[in-house]
Amino acid sequence: MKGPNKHLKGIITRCTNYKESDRIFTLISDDGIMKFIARGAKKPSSKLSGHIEPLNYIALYYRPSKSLNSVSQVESIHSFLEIKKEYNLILKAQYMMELAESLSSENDGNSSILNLLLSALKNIHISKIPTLDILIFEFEILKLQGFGISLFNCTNCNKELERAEHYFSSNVGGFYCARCFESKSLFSESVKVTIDQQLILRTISRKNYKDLINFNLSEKEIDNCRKLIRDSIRDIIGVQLKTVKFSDL
Amino acid sequence: MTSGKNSLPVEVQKLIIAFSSLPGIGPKTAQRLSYFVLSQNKEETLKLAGALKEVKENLSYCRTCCFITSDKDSENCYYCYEKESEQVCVVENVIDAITIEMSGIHKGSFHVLHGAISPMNGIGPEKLKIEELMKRLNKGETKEIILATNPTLEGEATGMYLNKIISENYKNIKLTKLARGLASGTDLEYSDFNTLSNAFQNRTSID
Ligand SMILES: [Zn+2]
Ligand SMILES: [Zn+2]
Repeated sequence: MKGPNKHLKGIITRCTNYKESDRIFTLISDDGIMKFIARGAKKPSSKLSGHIEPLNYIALYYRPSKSLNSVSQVESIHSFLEIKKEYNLILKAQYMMELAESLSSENDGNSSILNLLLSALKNIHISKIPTLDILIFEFEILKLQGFGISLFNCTNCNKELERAEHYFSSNVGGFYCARCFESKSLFSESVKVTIDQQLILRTISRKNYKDLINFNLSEKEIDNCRKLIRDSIRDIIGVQLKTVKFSDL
Repeated sequence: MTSGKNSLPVEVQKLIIAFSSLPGIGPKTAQRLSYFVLSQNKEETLKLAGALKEVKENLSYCRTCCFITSDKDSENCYYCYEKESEQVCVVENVIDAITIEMSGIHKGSFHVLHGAISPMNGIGPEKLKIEELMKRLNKGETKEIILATNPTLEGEATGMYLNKIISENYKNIKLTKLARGLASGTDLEYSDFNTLSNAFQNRTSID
């Protein structure tokens, strides 16, 4: 059942060698997450060789198949060479790719995750505080996939949250007002979040990224915010991502 | 899988399962290989079985360079004894060391990392034979480390990590890495950006 060649763009997130000279790879594409086989790509003389590497933004032609789609032609669009020169940036990029993988689904015909990942990767090497960029990426990708964190109202009674310390539950992906928190005795499943941390998250949610620079944020404050989001991600996906512990370096 | 498979003698079923555990071998190929073994003469098959057994029973990894050795109890293998210890070529896998050794280009010894840093697969530096490498460097015999990790994202990340810790802790050791660039037999027009960028950076003057 050989159909016509199809065209697609996307970022390669992971590759494995297969048989003597083939490579199997995962692509976050403008049509969701997909798996491909690039036959002969391991041979140096192959036209595919070199292009099939994680952290490459490529355009490809492939023949759809019931098992593995086979790639017939590849062209690199962007190779993120600036990231590939720095160990710490490679680790951060891999975390972003694994997170994007874990929240993507097959054939969803939606390019928003790809676009978000692309712009995050393009910015990370010029960023003054890469952890902040990761926090923004985490926040945005959750929102995009319908797991947005509710910051302004109590997740239980929907009352507007006043300016105070509140308790955050990664399980429900939001904050409790003081009253709900007391009456339901939710101590075990929530963590206290400072006003500053809430302010950071609210500023991100309003996309006022320039304001964040003026906040003079410390890495520690960003880390504390990341911890909240990271726990939410773990609860949504059901497992801890393998790259999490490397992304803080 | 057809239901007929279950009526096969259990020995054959076991063989098929064993072959399927090898990389790149699917159920179909495993079946084909099994039927081939059945048709092969006994002597040939036992030779194969014997070779498999010997590899597992007689070989282990050298405690110094982590390459394969048949000398189980000694601290150093043939390569550690016989080769110059001033130049150590660091590779990801045993097969890489064998390839370089067979080419005859490298006269020094090896250090096999047994993998590359791969966060996506949960493999950090602590899972590689890096501590063993540091122990070797502490002896003070090494003058040059040749990083020969693969030119893949994981191989490059591993090289960068080693470069950082070695240059920070062993100031007198020269660090080099294998040149990256265009492979022979390839067309420039099909090259990826990474390869091209490396080829430009590592360009040489024409004498
Ligand atoms: Zn409430
Ligand atoms: Zn040895």
